Amino acid sequence: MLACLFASLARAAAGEEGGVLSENSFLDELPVVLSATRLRQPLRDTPAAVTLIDREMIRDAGARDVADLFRLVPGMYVAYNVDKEIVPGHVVSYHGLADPYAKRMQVQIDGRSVYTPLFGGPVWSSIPLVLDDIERIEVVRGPSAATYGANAFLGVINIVTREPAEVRGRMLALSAGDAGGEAILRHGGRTENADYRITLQLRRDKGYTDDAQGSYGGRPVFPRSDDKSIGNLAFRGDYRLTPQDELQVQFGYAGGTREAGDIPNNNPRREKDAASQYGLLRWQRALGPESQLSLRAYHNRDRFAEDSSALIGETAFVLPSGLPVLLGVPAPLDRPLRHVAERSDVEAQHSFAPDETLRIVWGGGFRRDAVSSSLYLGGGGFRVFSQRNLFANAEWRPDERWLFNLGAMIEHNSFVGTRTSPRLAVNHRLGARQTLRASVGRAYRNPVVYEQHGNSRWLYPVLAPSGPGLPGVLPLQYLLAPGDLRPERIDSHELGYLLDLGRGSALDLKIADDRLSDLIEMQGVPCPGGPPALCALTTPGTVVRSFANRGSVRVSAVEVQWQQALGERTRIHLGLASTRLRNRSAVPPGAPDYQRTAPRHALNLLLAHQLAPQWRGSVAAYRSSASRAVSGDALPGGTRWDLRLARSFHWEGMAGGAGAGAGEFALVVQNVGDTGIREFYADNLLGRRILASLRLEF
Amino acid sequence: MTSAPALLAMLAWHSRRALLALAGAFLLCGGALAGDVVALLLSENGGHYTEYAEALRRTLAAPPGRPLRVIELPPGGERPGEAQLAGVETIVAVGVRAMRTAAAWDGVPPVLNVLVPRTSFEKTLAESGRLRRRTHFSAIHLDQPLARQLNLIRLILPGKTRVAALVGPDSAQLLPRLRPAIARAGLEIASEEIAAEAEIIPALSRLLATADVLLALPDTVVFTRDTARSILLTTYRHQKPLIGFSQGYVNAGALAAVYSTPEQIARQTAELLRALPPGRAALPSPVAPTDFSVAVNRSVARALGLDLPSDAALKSALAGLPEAEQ
Repeated sequence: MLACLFASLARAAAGEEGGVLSENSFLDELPVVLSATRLRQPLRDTPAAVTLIDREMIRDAGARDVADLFRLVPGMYVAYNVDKEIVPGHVVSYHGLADPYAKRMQVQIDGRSVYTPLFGGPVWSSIPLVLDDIERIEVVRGPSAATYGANAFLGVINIVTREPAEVRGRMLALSAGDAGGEAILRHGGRTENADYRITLQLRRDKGYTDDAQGSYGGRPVFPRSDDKSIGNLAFRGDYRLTPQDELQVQFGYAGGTREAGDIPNNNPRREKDAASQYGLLRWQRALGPESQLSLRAYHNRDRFAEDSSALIGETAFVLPSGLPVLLGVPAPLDRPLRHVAERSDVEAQHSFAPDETLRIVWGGGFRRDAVSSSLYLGGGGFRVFSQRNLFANAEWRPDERWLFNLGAMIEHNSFVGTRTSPRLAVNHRLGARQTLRASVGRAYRNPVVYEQHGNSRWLYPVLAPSGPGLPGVLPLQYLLAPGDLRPERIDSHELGYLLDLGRGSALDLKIADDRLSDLIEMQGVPCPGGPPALCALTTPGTVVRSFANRGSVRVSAVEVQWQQALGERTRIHLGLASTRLRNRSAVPPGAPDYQRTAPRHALNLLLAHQLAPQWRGSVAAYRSSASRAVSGDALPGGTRWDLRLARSFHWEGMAGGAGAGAGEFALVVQNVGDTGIREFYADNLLGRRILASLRLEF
Repeated sequence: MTSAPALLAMLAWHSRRALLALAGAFLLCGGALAGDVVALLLSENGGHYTEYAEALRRTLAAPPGRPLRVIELPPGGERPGEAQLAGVETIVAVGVRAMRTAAAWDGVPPVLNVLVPRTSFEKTLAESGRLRRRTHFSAIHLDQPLARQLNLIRLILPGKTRVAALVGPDSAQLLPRLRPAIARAGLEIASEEIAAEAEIIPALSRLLATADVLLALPDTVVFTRDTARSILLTTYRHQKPLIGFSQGYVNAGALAAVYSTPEQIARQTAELLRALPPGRAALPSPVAPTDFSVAVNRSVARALGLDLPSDAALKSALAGLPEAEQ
C-alpha cells in the first residue's frame, strides 16, 4: 500500500495524472541546472586562447593517462618521466620551463586545485581521477591569475567531470597491453532528489617497457624501474535541495605502490607508497536568471612514504685534511621517510548582471596548507601556511562588437605577502565569424614550500677510521632554503584571432610575448667558499643546495589551433606551436639555461573518422624539435604516431529497455613507428605499445 | 445646515440608488436563472488553479462584455446536484484531474476544460465512453500551436533547419501533426521514439549529433521533472539549444520557450464565455491559447553565442507571424 502511494506520488512528480499528461509539466518549476560553469564560454568571448578537449577527443586520442591528453595542446610540453627524486609521473608545462614538478600551471578538477603545496604541481600519476569520468578539459593557454589565482602562471588546466545524471547505469571497462592492464567499474544511480556516481579503478602499470640500457651521449643510462599499481575510488553526488539549491558532494582516494630509483646507491631501486585523497562540498543557489551564489570547501591530502635505509650502502669520502673516511647511512635516510601535504580551502563566489551589458563575478577565499616532510623540512612536524584572496572579474559588452574582460585578484600569502594580479582583455568582433583579441596581464607564482622553507640536513656516521680527535658524525647540509624568496612574475601580452567555421569548428591564432622574471632557481653553494654562516652547517668539501630569484626569460610564441568537423563523420584537430625562449640576463655557471626548455617547433594532429556506423578510426601525430627540460637531458626531436581502431556494438534487452546495453572494443597502438623517442631523461625510451580495451555500458 | 429641498433631493437620490440596486439584484438573479453562471471546478485549491480562478473572476468582473457570475463547485468526484447547477451555463474544469472528473458526469451543462494539455484532452474525450457532443466538451489547450513554436525557432535560430524531436508515449501522438508543420515551416525533422527513461540519453545523443536544435514536447516519460536535468546537460555537451514549453524550462536552462500563463488563459476564457450566445448550450471547438509569452535564458543564449532581441520584442515579432492551421 505504501509502495502504491509512492508510485502515485512519483507519477504526479513525473507530470502524470491518471495515466495522461498533467498540466504540471507546463506550469511547474524545474530544478535549475546550476552550473554556469557547465556551459562553455563561447571562444569568441574568452580573454585568452583556449584549447578544449572533449570526450570524443579523449576517446579518439587513445590516451591512458590524463596528462597524455595535453600533448594535443599547442605549446604544451608533456613527458612521461620517471623522476629521480620524489614525485614520479608526467611533466606538463606550457611555454617551456619544464621541470619535474610542473609547478607553473594551475590544475583544477571541478574547481578544486590539485596543486600539491610541497613541491608544486599535481602528482599526475596519483590524482584520484578516472579518464572516463571526464566531461571535458579546458586548457587556458596563458596566465590567468585574475580568475584562477596565483600559480595560474603559464596556464590553467581546468578539468570538468561528468555529471552523475549523465552516467546512469553501469559501466565496466577492461584493458590490457604492453604497458599494463586495468579494470574500471562505475555505477551511476539516482534517488528521489539526487544523482550520484561511484567509480572504482584498479591499475597495474608497467611504465616504460623499453629499457634504454647502455649509454646515451656518453652518459650511462639505466633501466627504468617505474611499475606501479594504483587503486582509485571516486564518488560524486549532486543533491537538489530545492529547485534553486544544489549541493555537490565529492570524495575520492587514489593510492598504491610504485617503483622508483635507477642508480645504485645514489638513487636505489625501491618502492614508494603514494596516496591522495580529497573531499569537496559545493552549495550553489540560483538567485535569479543571471545571478548565482556558490560556496565551496575542499580538503586534499597527498602522502608519499618510502624506506631506502636498507638500500643505501657505505660512502667513501675524503676529509679536507686528506684523510679518507668511510661513512654509513645518514640520518634521516636511515629510517622510513614521509612527506605529507594537506590543503584546506573555502571560497564564496557571487555572479550577477547589473544590466544587459555587464556581468560581474566576485568572491573571496581562504586557504590553509599544512606540510610535513621528514627529509626536506627538517623533521616530521607540520608547517602551516595560509592564504587569503579577493577577486573580481567584469565582462562588459558595450555593444555587439566589443567585449571587455577586466579582472584582478588580490592575494595575501603568509610567506610572500600581498600581490595583485590584474588582467585586461578586449575582444573585438569583425563581423559574424571573426574576432580579434588582445590582452595584457600579470601573474605570480608563489614559491612552493620546498623552495621557501626547505631544510634537509643529513648526518653521516663515520664508520672508519675511528679514534680520538676524529669526528664520529659528519654533517651534510644537503638543502637550505633562504626563506626570503619573492614570487616569480610574468607579464604577458597576447594577440589573438579567431575564425568561427561553424558547427563547433574554429581556427585560432595566438601571438604571445611574455616576460618572466624572478624565476626561482636551485643553486649549489660550494663550501668552503659560500657564506660562512651557511658553510658552518656542513662539512667542508660539500655543496649546499639553495634557491634564489635569478632567472629572467622572454617567451615569444606563435600558435595555431584548427579544430574542424568535416561533415558528420570526420573531425580534425591540428595544433602548431613555435616557441622561442631567450634569457634576458646572462646565465651564471650552473644555472639552468631556459632557451631549450621548450621545443622550438611542435605539431600535434588528431584525425578521427567514422568509417562505418560501427567502426571508428583515428590517427594522432605528435612531432617536436629538440629540447632540454630544466634538470633534464638534451634530447633530439622526434615524431610519434598513434593509431586507434574501435568497433562499437549494442545488444537489445527486453521490451522497455531492461537488459539492453552498448559496448566498444578498441585497439590502440602508440608510437607505431617505434621511433626511439626519449622524454625528459635519456633513460626514458618510449617504444611501440599496443593496448586492447573493452568497454560495456549496461 | 441643510435646506429642506436639498434634503429631499438627497433622499430621492439615495432611493434611486436603492432602487437601482434592487433592480440590479433582480436582474442578476434573473440573469442567473437565464444561465449566466459559470461554475468553476478546480483540480485542487491553491497554486496555479487559484491563480487562474482569481484571474477569471477579476476579468469577468470588469467591463466590457456581458456580466457572468462565477461559482465554485467543491473539488471531488461527486456530480453536483441540480440545485448546485441551477443557472449554470458552462462548467469550467481547471486542470486534468477536474477534466477527468467532469468527463464522468452525465447531463451537466457544457464543460470547457482549461489548463489541460492537448493530448490529455483528446485522450479523455476519446475515453469518455459515450458520444459526447463536441459542443458540450471543449477546451482551451495549454499547449502552444506547433506552428508558433516552430516560428520561434525560425526567429531566434535563423539558418538552423534540423529540428530534433525525442518523443515518448504521449508526444508520439503529436508526430503526425508535427511532420507537416515542420515541412510547412521549411525545416527538417529528425525524430526518435522511446518507451522508457533509460533510452533517453542514448537516443538524444544520436539525435543531437546531427540536429541543430531540440524541440521539447510534453510527455510523461521523456520531458519530465526528473529527466529535465540530464536532458539539458546532454544538450549543453552537444552545444545545441533546447526549446522548452514552459517558463520552468527556461529557468532551468533551456534556451527559450513560448508558453501561456494561467492568467493569459483566464483572460481568453473570459472572452470565450462572453462571446457565447446567452442561453445556448454550445461551446466552440477546442482552441489553442491566443495570448502567450516568450522567455529566453540569456546566460544560455550567450553561451551559445546568440545575440537575441528582448522577450517583448520576440513576442511581438512572433505575434505578427502567420500560424498555419495544423
